[in-house]
Amino acid sequence: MSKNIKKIISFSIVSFLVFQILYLVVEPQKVIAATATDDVIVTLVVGSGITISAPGDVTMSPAISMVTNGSLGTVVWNVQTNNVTGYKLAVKASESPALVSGVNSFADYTEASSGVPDAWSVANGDKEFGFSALGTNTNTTTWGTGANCGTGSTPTATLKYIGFETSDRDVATQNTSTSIAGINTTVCFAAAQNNVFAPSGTYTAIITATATEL
Amino acid sequence: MKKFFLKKILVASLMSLFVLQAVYFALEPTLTNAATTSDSVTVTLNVTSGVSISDGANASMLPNVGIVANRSVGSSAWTVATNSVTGYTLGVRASTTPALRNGATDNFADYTATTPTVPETWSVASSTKEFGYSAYGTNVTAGTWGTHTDCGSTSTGIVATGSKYRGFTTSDVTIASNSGVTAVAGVTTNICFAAEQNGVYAASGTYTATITATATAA
Repeated sequence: MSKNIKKIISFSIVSFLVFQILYLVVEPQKVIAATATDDVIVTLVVGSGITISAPGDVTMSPAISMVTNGSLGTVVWNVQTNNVTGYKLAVKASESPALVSGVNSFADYTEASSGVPDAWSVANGDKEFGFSALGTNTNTTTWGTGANCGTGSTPTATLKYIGFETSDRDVATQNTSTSIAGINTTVCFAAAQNNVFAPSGTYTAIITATATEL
Repeated sequence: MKKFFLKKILVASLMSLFVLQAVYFALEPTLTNAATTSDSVTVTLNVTSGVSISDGANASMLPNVGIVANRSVGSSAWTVATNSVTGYTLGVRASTTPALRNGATDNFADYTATTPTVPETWSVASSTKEFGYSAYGTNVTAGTWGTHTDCGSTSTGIVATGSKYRGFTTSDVTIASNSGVTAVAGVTTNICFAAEQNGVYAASGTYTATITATATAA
């Protein structure tokens, strides 16, 4: 046992001496070099992220009745992203038609040209529910130039409306990151009956907005 | 000794693996969703129920009852519109008992059906004079009120074939109902009035009855 310890100590001392000699031989050469360079690459990853606000539920106003044929509602979603290529905001309904009360419903808004938002107009004998959008990142060619959702029960004439679908429809897009404050997009809801009575009751639609990094 | 260390290393490795897996499963959905985020709102629209009724025209019964004319008929109509999801009922009642009176001078008794609450074919017993009503229309039950489509002849005062009559009360009696929303134009219900004297003279004069129709959202 003590023999082994002796061997280890001896080996260690020999190794130490060898390294010392090597250092003394090599070190002056390095100093003699006088200038030496080395690069390091510093990497910082900025991970992309996106958030969407959670506004409260919407109760449309005024209530529709035998003498009131239209109703409006408004919701604002705020999106923040640091994604270098920006984001898009889309909305969809949970079911078709979107606005239902038991077995009764308002049909999804029917555009003159299917899939193309147009000025709010509900045909005689129909009752419909649709939406428009406005904000910094909405396309006014698509959604109109209106600056608010309307007054009383009348949608803003310069907004363009479309019916909900159960798949996403883009309402706003930006190709760069947003400010910390984010970007607001307003979605305007409209419902109307024209020469027909919507059966009394409470109608609800579940609308989901999804913000996606581009 | 060596075996013991190997075992410890193996156990430590397995535990580390499980911990890392758990952390991964906890964080993975969050990280994946970072590129897409959603929010849902519930949009509520209230449609309040209402019911409307038209202003029915006053009715002058014809022909006039006299010593040679024993019968007279009249009519009016109400149009009811409602958006009530459960529809409406339309009831009628008289303001007095009996309904058709000439002040304190005289009156026609309210029509006496065999079963008072069940309308029946018009028939006035001898030595009596009576006043009653029937109804027809889209929302009137033909089994109760008859199959007629008019009130009868204003020349003869004879009631329409197939009509069924009962007497007024001062409480509402339903003459029409619907279990759903009406068209905006509403639904018209016609009411027929009939009066007859049989083997007795009604004292001359002007007899009036005030009949109130009430539409109620069901």
